[in-house]
Amino acid sequence: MREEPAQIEDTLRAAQQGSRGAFAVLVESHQSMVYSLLVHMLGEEAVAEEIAQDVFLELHKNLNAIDSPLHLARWLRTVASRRGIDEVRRRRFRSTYGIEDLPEPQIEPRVRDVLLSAQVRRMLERLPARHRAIVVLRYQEDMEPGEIAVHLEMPVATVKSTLHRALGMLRRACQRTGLGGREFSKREAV
Amino acid sequence: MNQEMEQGLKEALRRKPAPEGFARRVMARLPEQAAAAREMPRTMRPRRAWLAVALAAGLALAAFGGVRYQQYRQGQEAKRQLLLALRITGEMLTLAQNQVAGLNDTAGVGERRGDQ
Repeated sequence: MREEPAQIEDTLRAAQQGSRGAFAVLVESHQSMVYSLLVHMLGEEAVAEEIAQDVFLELHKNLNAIDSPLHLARWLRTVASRRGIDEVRRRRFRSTYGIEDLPEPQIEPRVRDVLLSAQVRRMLERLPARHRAIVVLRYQEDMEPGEIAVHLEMPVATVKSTLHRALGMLRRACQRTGLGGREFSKREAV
Repeated sequence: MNQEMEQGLKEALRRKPAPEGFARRVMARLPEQAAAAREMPRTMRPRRAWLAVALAAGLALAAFGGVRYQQYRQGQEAKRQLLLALRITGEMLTLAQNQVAGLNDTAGVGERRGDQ
């Protein structure tokens, strides 16, 4: 669910005045975005939900610092991304073997099409924490490198180069596992 | 291939709905005290804060005053007991002095009788 800034302006104000109901609406408006960011970064739904809840509790503490619905969405993206990066680093989600070491899929092409998205997400989980955050913000939230740079407080050039490196790693993994261009183009049939 | 790959990533990273009951679980974790504090209108907060500070300062002063009064009372009691002890000691000294003086008088009379 994409939030509509104009619609949630009043809800934000009401939540800032102490309405728990309004805060619940804010949570419902943004839960998909926050949860998806974390589940795509961490790959584990239970952990993603727990951290997503923490993000909203932190929002509740800092609600009076939010001055607009756009600020709210940006704040949530930033905090969720940072929490995700911290969690990846803390739990050493990145496996000891690299993305290049992914095994060849031992499944039929048709099934492989169906599982394409899951395979892409698995490959994503092999990326370093910051690479992963940038790829998720770029392709889940459809953000430009400049916006990602603001969210993650890093230079635009670094975002661009990190994204470039991340895509290169994913591309090589795709070629190696047989999920090359043709398989990507089959997604429409799924 | 780049465009295909990017499209594949967008597909794989599409937003997912949060689990059922997610918002309810978040609301259940909200601290009640924080909610109660938030119920207070923003304009009231500084006044309430000053009131709390003044109340705390008043309580601290009262506690300090109480301790000082207790110390004063203890000092007065000690002074009273000291004066009483001094008075008793003085009376005993006077009594002893009188007894010594009486003994001296008795001894003087005996000596005079012996001379005669």
